[in-house]
Amino acid sequence: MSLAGPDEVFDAAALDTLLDMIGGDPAALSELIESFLDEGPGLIGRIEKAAADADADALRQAAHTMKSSAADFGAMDLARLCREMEMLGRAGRMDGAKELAAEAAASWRAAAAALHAYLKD
Amino acid sequence: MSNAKGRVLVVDDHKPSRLKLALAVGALGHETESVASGEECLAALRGARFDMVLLDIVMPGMDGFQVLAAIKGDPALRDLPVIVISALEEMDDAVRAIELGADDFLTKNFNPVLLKARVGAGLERKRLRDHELEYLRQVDRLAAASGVVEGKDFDPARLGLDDIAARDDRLGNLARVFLDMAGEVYRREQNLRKQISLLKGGFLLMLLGACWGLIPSLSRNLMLDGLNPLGVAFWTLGSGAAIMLTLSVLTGRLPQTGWPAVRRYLILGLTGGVLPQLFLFWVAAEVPAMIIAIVLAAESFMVFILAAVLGLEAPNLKRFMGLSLGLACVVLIMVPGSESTGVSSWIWIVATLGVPLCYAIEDVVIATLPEERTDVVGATTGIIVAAALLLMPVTVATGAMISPADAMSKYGTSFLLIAGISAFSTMLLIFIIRTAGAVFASQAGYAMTAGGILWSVILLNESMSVWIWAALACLVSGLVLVMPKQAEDIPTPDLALRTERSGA
Repeated sequence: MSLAGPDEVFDAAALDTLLDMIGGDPAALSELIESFLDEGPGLIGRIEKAAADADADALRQAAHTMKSSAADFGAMDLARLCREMEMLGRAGRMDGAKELAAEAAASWRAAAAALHAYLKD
Repeated sequence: MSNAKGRVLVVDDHKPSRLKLALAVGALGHETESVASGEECLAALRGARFDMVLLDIVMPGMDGFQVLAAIKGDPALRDLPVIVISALEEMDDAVRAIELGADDFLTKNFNPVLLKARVGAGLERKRLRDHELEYLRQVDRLAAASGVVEGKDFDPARLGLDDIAARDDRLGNLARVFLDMAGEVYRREQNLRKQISLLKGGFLLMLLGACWGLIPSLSRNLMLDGLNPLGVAFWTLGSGAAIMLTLSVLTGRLPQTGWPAVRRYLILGLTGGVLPQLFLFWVAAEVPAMIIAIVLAAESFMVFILAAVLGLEAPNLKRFMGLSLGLACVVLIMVPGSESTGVSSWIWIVATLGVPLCYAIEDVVIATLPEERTDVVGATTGIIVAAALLLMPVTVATGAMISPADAMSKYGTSFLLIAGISAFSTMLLIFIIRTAGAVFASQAGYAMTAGGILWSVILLNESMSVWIWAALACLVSGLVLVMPKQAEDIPTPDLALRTERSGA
């Protein structure tokens, strides 16, 4: 199991990049973050289920989807873990998938807490 | 680079990614719509117009490659620019998508400047392709128009090339030349048709005048024997009904039987059959046939005035002058008195005006009834039969009935002639209206008058005074002023429906 530093769990600078991408509207950024917070648990659930079922294709798809969004919202550690799981899924290998999925779930919770805090600020 | 704004469809199954892309594209000033699957994407494209698609590749169900293949396989969608969205490490996917027909690609973590450049370039390609397609469509339309012209339809308005002719390029010039040439041929064709119509209409009018002109002389001849107008009218209408019923049965064109049609037959039978015939036979005993024939021309004038007052026909100064000359004709007969005209009192002239007045009222009644496109033979039969049936009880009740024995032995030929000529003239009038137009056909009254004068001279030895010559001059001038059907002449309801006139 790899360890992630605070900046890797949540990099607030990524949100500045995201804000720039969507035209600089803070309200739109909040809407985006809320959308990510709404969708996240479902995706993590799909990742955990795919790992438990040893379903390589389902793992690849769910990890792929979470990977891009996680990077957009500053959850760098989560993005890294998803990239690893996507590669496993693409290769049809499931060794270590359950552990990675558990790490991803923990990383999601940490990033989500940070994003909630960002929204409150 | 173009700053044109477009309508962009964003396709991504993951809501945050979809929302991010839509917000970013919207921030560039474009209109966006978002869908979450390949199936929804195709449905949206087939239901509305878009200028570009931003398409995620990895999606559950129908993935980006399948959507791309469907778009490029659909002739209606294949020119739509598609930019695929892929992760940085999925370059193989992007390459494959471009091989399948995608115009460009963007990474999920795109740069806003790059997004602007690629969307702008895609929209510009779409704009140029749209212009190119529009040009090709207009070339096709021009080619199709040449097919229309080959089919001898030269009317420029029906070629539908005005928008192409408005182009400021060589295609526009070609369309203008094409339209000008077609227009020239069309105008020449119209002029030729007008001349043919004039000649044909003139001949038919003369034939109608020669036929119908016999009626006043035959009526005068009958009534000088002191017959009752009611009895004569019954037998002429009855004979007419028998002739029309025979024709109707032989041709299978029977009158309608519903109450609205029967009511229509009764109204028109009264105003166009019973009343004018009664007036005609009543005055025929006192007024020379020549005068009756001339006074009947007043019908056209009365119709014109009534139609103009009721707004059924647009007043036209030239036609009004022509028809006014017809009225002047009547005045010229009334002014000189009995020595020149052979009428014992001007009151009889006024009474004679009752005949054209009845016809004019019939015309107005027709114009106020709901328009019906019924068979002419059937309708004419219905009207004459209705007129005969209306007249029968009155004739019997007043003791005016001429016995069948007398009717057949003494007057049968005259009754049948009047009835047969009336029926034939009615059909001929309908034919003239259909071939030369209602306005030209309204001059039938003048032609009938001329024919009436001719027959009165030949059959009854009636003489032409200087006043009657002057009246004839007015009549001819009136005919000249009212020209046959022009391209802009549309038969008005009142005159067109006069085709159903029932009798003399």
